[in-house]
Parts: sequence; structure tokens; C-alpha cells
Amino acid sequence: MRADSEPASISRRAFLDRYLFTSLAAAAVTALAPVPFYLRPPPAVRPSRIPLGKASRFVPGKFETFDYGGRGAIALHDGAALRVIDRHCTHQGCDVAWTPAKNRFECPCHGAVFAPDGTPIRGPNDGPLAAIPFRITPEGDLEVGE
Amino acid sequence: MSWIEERTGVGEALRSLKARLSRPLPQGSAGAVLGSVAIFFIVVQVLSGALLAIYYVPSWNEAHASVVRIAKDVTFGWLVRSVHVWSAHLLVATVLLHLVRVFARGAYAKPREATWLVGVALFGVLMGAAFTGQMLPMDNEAVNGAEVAAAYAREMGMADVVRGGPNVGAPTLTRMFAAHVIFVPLGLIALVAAHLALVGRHRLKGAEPLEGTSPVFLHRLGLSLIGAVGLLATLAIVFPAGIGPPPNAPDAPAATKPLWMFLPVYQAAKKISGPATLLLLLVPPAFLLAVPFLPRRLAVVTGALLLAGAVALGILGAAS
Amino acid sequence: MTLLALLLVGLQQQVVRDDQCIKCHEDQAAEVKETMHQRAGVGCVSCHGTDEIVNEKHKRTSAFRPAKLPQIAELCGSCHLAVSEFYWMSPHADAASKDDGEPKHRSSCSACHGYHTTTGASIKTIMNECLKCHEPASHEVVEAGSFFRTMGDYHHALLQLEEELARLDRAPGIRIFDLKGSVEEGRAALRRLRISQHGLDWKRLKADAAASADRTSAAYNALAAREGSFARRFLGLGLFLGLLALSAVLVVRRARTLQGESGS
Repeated sequence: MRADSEPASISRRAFLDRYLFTSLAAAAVTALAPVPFYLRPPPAVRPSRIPLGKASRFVPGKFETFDYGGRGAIALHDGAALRVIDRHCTHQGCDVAWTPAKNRFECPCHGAVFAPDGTPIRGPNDGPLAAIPFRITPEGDLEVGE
Repeated sequence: MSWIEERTGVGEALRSLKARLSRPLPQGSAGAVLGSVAIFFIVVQVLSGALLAIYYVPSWNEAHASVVRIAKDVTFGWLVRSVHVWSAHLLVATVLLHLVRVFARGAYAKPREATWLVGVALFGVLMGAAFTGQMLPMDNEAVNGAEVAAAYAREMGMADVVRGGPNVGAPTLTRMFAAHVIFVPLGLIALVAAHLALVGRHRLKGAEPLEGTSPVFLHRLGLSLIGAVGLLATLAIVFPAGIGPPPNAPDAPAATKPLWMFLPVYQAAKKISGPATLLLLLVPPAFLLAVPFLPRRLAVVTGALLLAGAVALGILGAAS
Repeated sequence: MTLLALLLVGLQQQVVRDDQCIKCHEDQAAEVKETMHQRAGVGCVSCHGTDEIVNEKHKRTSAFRPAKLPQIAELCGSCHLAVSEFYWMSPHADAASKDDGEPKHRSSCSACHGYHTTTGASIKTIMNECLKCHEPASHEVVEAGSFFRTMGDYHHALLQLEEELARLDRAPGIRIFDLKGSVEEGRAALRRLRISQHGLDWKRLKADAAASADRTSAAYNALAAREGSFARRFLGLGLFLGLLALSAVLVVRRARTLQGESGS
């Protein structure tokens, strides 16, 4: 039906087609550009101070796990002092388990072992377990956090 | 490129698609792009909906907060959400125009009855998508809407299925979410594929005798899609979707209204209660399904009356 | 009589005792009415005691008539601990402790807050009271005035911030969750300043007030910046629509070109 053997019209069409393609591609890129930014989550809310009751109830041997801003944490008395430790293993982030019988942390994922104050004893790790700041109020209450 | 072509045949598939879209069109078929524009909006919904699902929390207590987070805290969250909301409205409007156009041209007659019926099913699924989607933000209108739906379901003995329990609550939201995010897309994919296959098989009404190729449809399609994208972007950016109050908030509006496409039913429900409300729900779908089997005159008159009635009720509902 | 009835209702905790005072001391009772003290259940007896008055039938006692100023500060300080700590560090306390009847040495709580009316002192009241003993051009008054101006600005900024946050609470596209804490922090800082100002350490007070005001302004500016950035979305829309328009023009030209070729 169409006799388009004329070189001039072909090249004109190809010329227009290329511009059209570019223009549409540019529009598509503009439309999709927000997506990578959208995927990055907004900054997290800093965890506020968490009260954990009376500090005096943490006698040697007593421990309590709790949630600190969405991360697993533990408050314990290891016989020497009160410790508040972040339970993220410094190897690959698994929740380390507190083993009271052996008075140490043991990670179930690759077998890393940590002392009660977070110091690595053996196994794969990238440093000691993080200590979480805490304070004891004048009234004797334990408050965890900044 | 030929490496890809040898192994996947993508180029040939695209050329074959282009050929199908280059068939000549009959006279007066300027509106033939409506269906394609509707499919475009469906694609937009699926993509924007998938992005929203990254941050949305389908929990009775957290859903509203997660929507607020999307609209305010997530980078460009307001944009993705606004696109999803506006595209939903545009999709329903386009589908309605498409339906009315096909009906007016009588393009549902033999041999296209199956195409029409699949289309009606598609329309039903889309209404379901609109309704379930409206509940997800868990604002005041959402919860009340779910209660109303449960009331209709109760008349059909299916209240439990809609509510997920003895009352509208957390299980209801979970169901609505599963329906909106899994079942509706699955249904849409299946029905759209069937609908397109049938349209391709029979071609547009009046186009059967035409042969050869014509770029007219492709050009019209291109311009329509560009226009649709432009309209959607303008609406989404100039009028970003707002945040409604959570349920039981002190500033909850006195009148809870459903989305505009449900306004006729809403307005009619003001005067009817009990089993009669089932009629409101079942008459329109029953009519639509019966259309290919009714004499043309009867269909047109009934259809025009129903449409006029729906529009009138809708306007009354909007103004009240 | 209605006054009496109202007072009886108000001073519930001391009804048994205070009403005996009120029978005769109506003026003072009227001053206490509607005060924070009355709402908190602090009545005649809380400050004046009972034994001497009731038992000795108003024999003049050393307590409060005439007032020994250091005693007033001690009494108020027995409940208002934090303020008292700062007050006792201040030159006002040194002056009041002299207790020699000199007008300039009457710098106790009652000087600014009254005896029975015990109002919170507004900035204006404070400055007026200052001028009763201090020269307007004196170092103390100038410093105090400067501090109170900073406080006023700070308070104003805090109110503005609160208003903005309330306005933008449900506005899409504008992040505020990380700034909401600033208002509480700001109010806490304001409370601390109102307490510590009794220490009259103007330099330190001004530094603290300025720091808090800076933080509040930073939050307010952050909000304004976010609103501005959101408003710039129209630029993106314009760019996008421009590209679409260009594409549409090219499609039309392509259509016309093809039409010209085929004559269809």
C-alpha cells in the first residue's frame, strides 16, 4: 500500500524516529528517576530512654533481654558489674544468646563466643559487642539509652 | 543485539506486535484507544502499588501510621501514593468510558459476546480493587466502608467471608490487603490476557474486511498514552493525595462517603435497607451480563435509563 | 456570702481550719482566690500554721507578721525546691538575709510574687519590680532586660514552631517526625530557664537562652526549607510535561510524514 522507496522520506522518518525515541526515553527516565530515592528508607527515629525498673534487682546472675530501638539487647549482672549489651553479633549480625551457666555470650550462627562485657573470646567477629549507654537515676532506677 | 535476537527472538515478537497494532481501523473508531489507555493505567497501578507495598503495614493498628509515613517521611512517597490514587480514579473513568462506548456501538454482538462478558468480569474485578484499596489506609471512611460491604455481604450470607470474623476488625484488613495485592492482580492478568486475545481474534467491529497496514492506531495510541501520562502526572503533582484522619479521631467528618464510583449505591442506600439492598448491588452486574443476549432496543433503553439513574444518584450523593 | 461559699468549696483540704481564718480575713482570702496555690490545695494553714493562731487567739507571733524575709524564702523554698536552690546562690538572697528593714534589702519571693496573690511574674512585672530598687541604667537592669528580651524572642520562636508543626501535621510531602521532639525539648528548656533565672547569673542565662533559641530557629528553618523543596515539585512537572509535549509533536510529525508518503 505504501511505496516508501524514496531515500529522502526514509531518512527523514528515521531522523524523526530517533528523536522521538530519545524524547520518550528521556520522559521515561524522568518518571522513573524518583524510584531509587524512594527505595532508601527515611532516617530512623532515635530510640528514646527505656526504663528498666530498679537497678537493684540486677543481682549477680540476673539478666533481662529487651528491645532497644528495634534491636535485641540485654541487661545483666555478670558477678562483677551491671552490663547493658547490644546482642548483635559483630560477625554477621545474628542475635547472640546469653548462656548463664557459662557466663558468656554464644552466637548460634557461626559459634562466636563473647565475654559478659562483650569482649570477643573466640570465633569469627569484628570487635566486641557494643555496649549500650545507661544511667542509674538518683532514685535507683535503671534507664537505658542516651 | 543479534546475540539476543538469535536466542530470544524478542525483535521478531516486537515486530509481530507492531504489525497487529498496525491493522487498519474502521470509520469512527477514534475512541478505540480507550481500552489500551485503561491497560496502561492498570500497569501504573501495579507498579505504584508494588512500591507502596514496600512501606505499607497491613496491621489494624499501624496501617494509618504507615500511610502517613509514606506520604510525609519517605522520599517521593507522596508522589508514588498520589500517582496510585489518581491513576485509580482515571482507570475507573477510562473503563467506564470504554464500556459505554462499546455498548453504544453495539460491539458486544456476535461474535464478540465472550469478549464483552470477560470485560464485564474485568470491570467487576476493578470495582473490587477500588473498594479493597480504599480500606487499606484505615482512615474513617475505610472502616465505615468495610462495615457497609459487610452489610451487603450479610444479605448474601457471606458476611464472614468479607469480615474475616464476627466483626469488622484486624482480620478484615488482612483479607482486604490479600485481595487487593494478590487476588485482584492475578484476576486482572488472567482476564486482561483473555480480553486482549479475544479482541485480537475478532478485531474491532467494522474492521474485519479491511486489509493492509496503517499507522493510524499506533499514532493515536501514542498520543493518547502521552496525554494520559501528562494528565496523571499533573494531577498527582498539583493535587497530591491528602491524609485522612484515623478512625475515632476528633476531626472525623460527619458524613462518610465512598469513592465516587460507588456514590449511586450510597445514595440509593439512604432510602433502602434490609434484603432490598441486594438489588442495588446485583441489578447493574446482572444487566451488564445479560446485554449481549437482549434485543438491541431493549438493551439500549434499559442501559440508558440505568446510566442516567446512576449519574443522577451519583450527583445527589456527591452534593449531599 | 457567695465569696465564702466559693472559698469553702475551693479550699477543700483545709475546710476544717481555713474557714476559721476566712471569717475575719476576707481581704486576704479574696487575694488567694483563683490562684494556683488555691487550686493546688495550699491554703491559710499551709503557710501560717495553726497552733499559735487558733490556740493563742491571734497573739502576735514571730511567724510572718512582720515578715522576716529569709523565712519567706525558706517557706516558699520548702515546696519550690529548684527555684530555691538558684535563689540562695543569688545576690538577692544575700541582700534579704541582712534582714535590716532597708527597702533595698527586701528582695525575697514576695517582692515579685506577692504574698497572697502569688502570681507568676510576667516579664513586665519583673522589670517594674527591678526598677523599684535598681537604677534603670544600672548594670543589673540592663543585663536583665537583655536576657528577658532573648527569652521573649525564644518563647515567640517556640510558639511559631509549634504552630508550623500543627499546620503541617497532615500535609503530604513534608517530613516533620524528626522535629516534633524539638517542641518538647524547647518547652523543657524554657521551664529550666524560668527556674534558673532566679540565680541572676545573666551571662550564663543569656547564653543558655540563646542556645535554645538557636535550636528552635534551626528546626523552624528546616521546616521552611522542606516546604520550599516540596514547592519545587512543579519544576519537575514542568520538565516532564515539556518532554511529553515534545514527544507528542514528534508523533504528530511522524504521522503527517507517513500520511504524506502514502496519501492515506
